[in-house]
Formats: sequence, structure tokens, C-alpha cells
Amino acid sequence: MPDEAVGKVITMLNRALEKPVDGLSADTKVLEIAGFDSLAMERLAGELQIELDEEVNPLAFAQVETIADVAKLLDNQSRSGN
Amino acid sequence: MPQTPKPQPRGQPIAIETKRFAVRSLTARNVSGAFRMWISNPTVMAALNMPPRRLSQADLERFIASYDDRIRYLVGIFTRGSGEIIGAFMLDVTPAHALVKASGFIGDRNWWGKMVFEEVGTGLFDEFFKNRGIEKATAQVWEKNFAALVPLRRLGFKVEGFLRSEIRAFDGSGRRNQFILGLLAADWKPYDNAR
Repeated sequence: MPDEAVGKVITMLNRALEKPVDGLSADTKVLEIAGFDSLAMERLAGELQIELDEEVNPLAFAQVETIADVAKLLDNQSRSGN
Repeated sequence: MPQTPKPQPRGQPIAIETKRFAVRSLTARNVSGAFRMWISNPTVMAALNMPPRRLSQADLERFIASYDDRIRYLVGIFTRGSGEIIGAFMLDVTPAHALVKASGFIGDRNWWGKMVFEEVGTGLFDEFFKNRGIEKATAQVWEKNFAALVPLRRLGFKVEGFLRSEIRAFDGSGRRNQFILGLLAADWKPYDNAR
């Protein structure tokens, strides 16, 4: 997974969280991030939608485990959209 | 000539405690005005894709009586300190398949975002899997209902499918997609990270 996509997702996640979190990496499990709740997930979906300029694939988004999975989603969907 | 089925006796009510909550089958006695207020609250009911309704005390008692603690459960979430009700779970059992279908809501906004579903769900699914013979739990969730999706996934539910235009939106705004999520008793691990 390109570092650029992972970095973008970490930035988005920290915007989605009420309190930004240090030490996030590709392997971090999204549902285990301190303060990650339903509101943060909704905000993250919004961030992804702005980045992709289309709605994120709901089925894929609902199943993400790690930050790398979100980055993959971003990468794949932006490629298929181009 | 077909026989009228004999009415089944009520089952064993739910009565469990978690760190912060007492979780009990609702009865006409322990249900409070707060519960009736939530049923009339459009925001709370929207999470269940139901229109708000104004129920009289008699309506409410009939509604509660339709849950038998055997195949239909209506379970209240009460704070252990003050004993106030803050939300509810509805669980429908299909005995032939040892399956329970769950839904729920937190009516008291002060408890939103405080991992109530994770904590209460841990107690409830533990009870159903270990003591009530249930082998699988499922939930159907509107694709935008992150307030349900996040805790269900934390509890170990897997997204098993995406149901296109599965239900009519209660507000007449068209049809809604849903996720179907499932959790097998064989995979059950109580969630131990509730705040």
C-alpha cells in the first residue's frame, strides 16, 4: 500500500476524530483507535467522499479492519474512477 | 379441522448486569414515561426506520405484552446507579434455527457515543449464546446507520451481505439499502474494552 494513501487516511482519520491520535500506522485497527465512534466513522466516510468525489463503496467501507484497508479503498476507487 | 395453537407460557425474563448497566426484560411495571417519549421521538425512531408514534398507557402495555421472553424479547437498559432507563434492545428468536435477530436504540442522548451497545451487547449475546441455546445472532442495519454498525462490528459481527433497496424508508423517501451482519456463537468472544 503506497505510503501516500496511508498518510492521507491518517490525516482524514485525525480530522474525523474529536481528539487527534499519535502513532497511527497502516496496521492500526480502525475500530480500536481511541475515540473512534460512529460519529468518527460518519465523518471519515464524508472525508473519503470529498477525496474521491463520489460516495465510498459502502460494502467495502463497512468491512475495513485496518488503516491500510481504508487506504486500499481510496487507492482502488480513485483508480477505477479515473 | 385445524386446531388453535395453545398460547405458550412466557419464557425466562432477561436479568443481567454489566459494569454500568442492569439489563432487564421490560414489563408494564418497569417501563417509564421516558420510553413512551422515545417512541414519539422522530430522531430516535428514525434509527429503527420507524415512524414516531404516540402511545397511550394501554397501547404501551399491549405493545410490551406482545414480547414473551421466549421468541420475542424487549429488553431495557437501566443505569446501575440511578436506575433510569436509557435504551432498549429488541430480539426475535427463530427457535428452529437457534437464531436471534437483534435491533436496539439508545434513547437518552447523554449516553450516545459511550459504548453502551458494546457493553450491553456483550452481556446480552453472552446470555443468548451460553444460556439460551442460540447459535447465531444477526442484525440488519441501514447502510448509513454507523451508530449501529460500529458497535456490532466491535462485538464481532461480520458483514455478510449488502441488501439493495431492501426496505422502504419510513418517511416515504424511497427505498434503503441494508447490511446484514452475523455473529456465530462459535466465534463469540465477549468484548472486554467497554469504557
